[in-house]
Amino acid sequence: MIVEETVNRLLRDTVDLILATPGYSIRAKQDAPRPPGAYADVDFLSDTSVGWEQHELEDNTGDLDITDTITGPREMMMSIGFYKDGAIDNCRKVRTAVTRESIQELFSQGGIALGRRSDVREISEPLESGWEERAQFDIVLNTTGSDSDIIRSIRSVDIGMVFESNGLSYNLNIEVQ
Amino acid sequence: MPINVSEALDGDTAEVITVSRTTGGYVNGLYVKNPPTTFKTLASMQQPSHTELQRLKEGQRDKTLFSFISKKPLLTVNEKEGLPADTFTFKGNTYEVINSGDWSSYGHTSGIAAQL
Repeated sequence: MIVEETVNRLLRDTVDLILATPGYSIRAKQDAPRPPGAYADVDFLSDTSVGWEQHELEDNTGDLDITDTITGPREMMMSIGFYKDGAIDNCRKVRTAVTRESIQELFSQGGIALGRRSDVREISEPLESGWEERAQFDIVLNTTGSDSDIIRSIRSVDIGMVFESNGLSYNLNIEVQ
Repeated sequence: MPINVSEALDGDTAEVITVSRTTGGYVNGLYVKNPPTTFKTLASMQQPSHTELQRLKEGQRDKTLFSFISKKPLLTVNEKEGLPADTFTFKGNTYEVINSGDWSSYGHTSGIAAQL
């Protein structure tokens, strides 16, 4: 099962690789100070199911139960934001470079595939010390969500009955195994 | 010679608070805090005035706040150095320094702290 942090880490590594700057990107929304220099942050936005999940039922070898393996295609939208010096150029560069074959291979190894990307958005912000250069784009990744469940077998059924006739009643209990 | 305001801070006007200070850095994109160092200092804890409240950033005014004057410097977050803000315990609650003014020429630090 793809967990959010795995995808987030993969995108962080991808951004660092494209910009050839180790440690450039961080996970968004941490309760921590911002990095002193220019940086990028990677944020999870949404995880959308595409169609219905597939259920594969498999007999368990050790007991009478059944294992239900559930898989379904997902579209995971992530946001990559760039801050401070070179933010717009870096954002444009990363948005284009995610289509590189080497990056596709990296995604494939991580169990994801590039779906689509938004435009690069210029979102510079005026701060106390002046304008801070900022840019951002969304990236939609295709992946597979999975889950599993144990379906318990019905080992026995209890049937209770009351038979009434001529003022008499008879209780009958049957256990089917 | 400036007046040393910290001389006015004593057991009658201030209380002892335990301050926790830490450093940290980003490792693989996640901020990792180092083990904190702690120290005690005398601080006069008061309710912030309406003027002080107006100095706070958006969204901070509805927190439980204290205005403080401390004998030792208390530091707020330092984005240039990537350092988190000091925290301290006061009457069983933990507070984070969200605003800090350097009055070291007069022997004290004044600022505002918000309950975590």
